[in-house]
Amino acid sequence: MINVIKITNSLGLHARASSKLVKLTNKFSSQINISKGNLVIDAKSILGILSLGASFGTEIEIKTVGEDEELAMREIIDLFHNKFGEER
Amino acid sequence: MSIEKSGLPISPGFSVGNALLINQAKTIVKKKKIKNSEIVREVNLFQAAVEESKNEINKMKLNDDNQYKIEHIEILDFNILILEDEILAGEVIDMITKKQINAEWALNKVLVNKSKEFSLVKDLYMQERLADFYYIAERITKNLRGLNQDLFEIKNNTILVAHDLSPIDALKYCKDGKVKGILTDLGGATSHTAIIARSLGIPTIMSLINISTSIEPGQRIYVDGYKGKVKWKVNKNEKNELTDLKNKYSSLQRNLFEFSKLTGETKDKRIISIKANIEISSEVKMAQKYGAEGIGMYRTEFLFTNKEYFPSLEEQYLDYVCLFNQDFFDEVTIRTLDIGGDKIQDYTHLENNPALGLRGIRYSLANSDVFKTQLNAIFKVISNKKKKIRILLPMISNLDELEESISIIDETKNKYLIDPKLVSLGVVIETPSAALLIKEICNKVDFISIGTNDLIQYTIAADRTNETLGDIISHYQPSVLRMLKLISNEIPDNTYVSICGEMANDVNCLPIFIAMGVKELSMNYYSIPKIKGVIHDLSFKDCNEIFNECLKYTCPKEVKKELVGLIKNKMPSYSSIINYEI
Repeated sequence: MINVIKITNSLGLHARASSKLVKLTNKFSSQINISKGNLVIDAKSILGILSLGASFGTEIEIKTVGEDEELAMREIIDLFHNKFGEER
Repeated sequence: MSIEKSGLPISPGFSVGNALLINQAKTIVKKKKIKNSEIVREVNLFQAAVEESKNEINKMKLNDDNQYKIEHIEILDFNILILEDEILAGEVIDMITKKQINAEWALNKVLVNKSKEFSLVKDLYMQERLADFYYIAERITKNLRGLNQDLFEIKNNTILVAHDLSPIDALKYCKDGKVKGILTDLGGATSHTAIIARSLGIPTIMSLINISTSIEPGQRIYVDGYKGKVKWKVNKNEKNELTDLKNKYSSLQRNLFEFSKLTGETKDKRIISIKANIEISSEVKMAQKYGAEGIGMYRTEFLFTNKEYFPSLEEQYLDYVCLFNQDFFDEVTIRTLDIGGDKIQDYTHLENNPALGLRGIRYSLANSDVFKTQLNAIFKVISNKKKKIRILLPMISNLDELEESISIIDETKNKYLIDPKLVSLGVVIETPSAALLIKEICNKVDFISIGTNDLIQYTIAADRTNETLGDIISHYQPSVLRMLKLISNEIPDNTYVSICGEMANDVNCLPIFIAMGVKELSMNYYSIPKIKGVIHDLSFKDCNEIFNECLKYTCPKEVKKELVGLIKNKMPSYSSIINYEI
């Protein structure tokens, strides 16, 4: 599955948000990648996510491939939509 | 002979203690070829070292005793995730196997390669996170060598001295309250270690060049985290002076909480808003703790200097948004860029006299793209967050500059859907020229802020960083008082006047500002409780008398003596309050 999403939490994918995302992605068996422009990273790697440097307003593409790809995508999108639980 | 060094003040407080030198040098990573038959063993060793490192951090979490704050746990978790990063570990194992090299070298190599990717990330905060990966690599390397055991015991009144300190070590060493200070060669204000030091209230100074090689173990050191200064090998006199200073600081600390809760109100019910000047957006937390009622000036230079590029609109937006974190303040004041040739890393345009050169608004108008980017970031915050921001323009010296700035500001503002009530514009009155044009300036803006530091420097034509000038640059100089009187006579009624600059936190000058009818004083956050403690004992009427009286004197020493005498007269508690002066 592929989905494009815009980062809407004001701090972007900083340390705390990246931690939450990595904890989530590692629950799934599917291969999960995030890309920004030409840069593609493995979303199960904290180093990978931080190296995206994805700040507020950045558009990223999420790709999930595997048995639980649908559930993975849904939960990842939810996390982004909930702004990582940071903002009320 | 005593020795003094200055660095970046990271966490305020004053302490005395004995130096404990830790990890004096960074572990030097060694490269070693391994045999085919040794590969499996090396991979196992690496995995065991990672596991051991993880256990160390997990153990810290387990032995918590509820002492950790949420930000501590988050930093620990973040570090655990680095250790659990299978992609990272996979690359290291891959390198050990394919290149037949030892684990510590492979780990370092992988990180160096990753650093190149990180250098593309144009966000200072995210770049600083790379430091955490290196700290973890250091921890793994030490465990690989079986060296990650502390061979020292932390005694009471310890001052930690290190080349660099990881957040995990900072937390581990400082948890039980025996550490009274942290000094490091490296480090910056947004590092995780700085966040921990501030949250634990440990006086901390970073970027103290060569401190770890200058200090002997056990050396008695005085740490002034308010000013970013350390002193050691002091003689008897200096020792007494420092002890006095320490006592003053601690009585301030004791009364801090009480005073910080007061409002700035004179005896005759005139309200003066007491706000904080800050240099880093995360300081809002400390400002709030010390009783600030708002941010009277956010100096944005920190975002722009010490960098090879200027921050993007996004980067600035993210930073300015942090000013509203946790809803401490409803309104903040952002001073637009006040840098000159001396602070920009552009050596093609060296100026002979940067203080009088293309700085402040002059620079912004000459580089309007830089100015517009900053304004766009500010308006974006206002439009997205619906928060009030006051824009403050530095170094205005004539009306053309002001008009040109206003037209750029309006043009930028019109691109956003903004409630006009959320924006106000002010000028820093800091050149004698602006002081002489005060009436016309006030008619064009919503407020003014008298920047005493530069106003004094330019009025007296004396460099305030030149320590040999002594009293020449004192704010008790009669010319300074007359300049303030002149401004206050010319200001149209009902103008909102703020004072920012060190003079605002000198208790002795408080009557001058009250007499001038200022509505706001903005200062270093740690001076706020002291000023709040004094303001209640003064009345507008008394202050008027005091100001008029001290204008009669012609020598700064007399002015000061007179001010102190008059205040003491009106305010019996003066002698006890003055002890809170930092």
